[in-house]
Amino acid sequence: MQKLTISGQEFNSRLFLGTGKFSSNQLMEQALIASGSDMVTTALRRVDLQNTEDDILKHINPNRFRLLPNTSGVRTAKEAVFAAELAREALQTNWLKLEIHPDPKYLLADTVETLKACEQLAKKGFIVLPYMQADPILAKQLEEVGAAAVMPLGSPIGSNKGLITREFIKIIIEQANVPVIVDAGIGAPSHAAEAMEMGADAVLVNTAIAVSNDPVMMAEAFKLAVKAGRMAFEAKLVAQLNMAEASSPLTSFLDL
Amino acid sequence: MKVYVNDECIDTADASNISLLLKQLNTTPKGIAVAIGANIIPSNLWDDYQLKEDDQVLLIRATQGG
Repeated sequence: MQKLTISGQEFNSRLFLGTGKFSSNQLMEQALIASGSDMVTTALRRVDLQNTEDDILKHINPNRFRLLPNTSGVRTAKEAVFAAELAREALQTNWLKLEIHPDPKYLLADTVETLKACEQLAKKGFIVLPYMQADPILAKQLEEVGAAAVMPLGSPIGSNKGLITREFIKIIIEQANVPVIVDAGIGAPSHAAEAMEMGADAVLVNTAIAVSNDPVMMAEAFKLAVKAGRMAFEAKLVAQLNMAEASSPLTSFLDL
Repeated sequence: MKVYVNDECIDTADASNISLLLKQLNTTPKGIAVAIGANIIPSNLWDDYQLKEDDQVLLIRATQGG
């Protein structure tokens, strides 16, 4: 399999994991390892002064995983730049998952603010991976202002509905000069496999693993699905036909 | 003197700096970002940054998220 490269950095796995919603940091750590992923997202929060020792980073081996902090919680480009700079300071990385979704009901990305923030952050030296609507025009605009990859949604965050945007993601993939990472809404390994078969460069999965009955087993299921989908893409899927085409020779061996 | 840390009022020594404040709060400096108002203070300046009365200190760290 070809390796994924983003901004000159090579990745062994095409599955990125979110760290949200796990019932414990220990379970999260086991699932991260089982997934084979080498990039994981984190959010930012205010330090709890009553519990200053609660530290997710103790459970993410820095030699094994690259951290991708997100800007979840911000509503404007200005707030996103501030959050990004805090993230860079806290985690000592200039990699960033830019996400600006002011509407708490559907968590859809604010296109105008995302484009504005992406341009500013790229100029400040961040490696920006923006979460975005599955809008092919926007994907090109984000690429032009310096996005290192684009992250169109399959369906709303945490909805588990799969690739309801599939036709638009296909256009984004066809036109992109940067990696396309399908983010959000991937609720089953089959959704991940479908994205990879379509030619997505990677997928980001969180809820479907974290809240399953067995996150560690589900993480491995996603690992296998992503690998299978990518292998199928590289081997090139054969065309769909409207009529049957025999797989067995139609010789008339029963004719006497 | 009083400063505000994540909106909580904290009593600290008059000559306190950011490093001393983190120690007072039993907060490990690793993985932390600090802003005073809208200004992010890099960790190499924490020893030198003298806190002032009523400073609004923002302490941020990583948490679970997708």
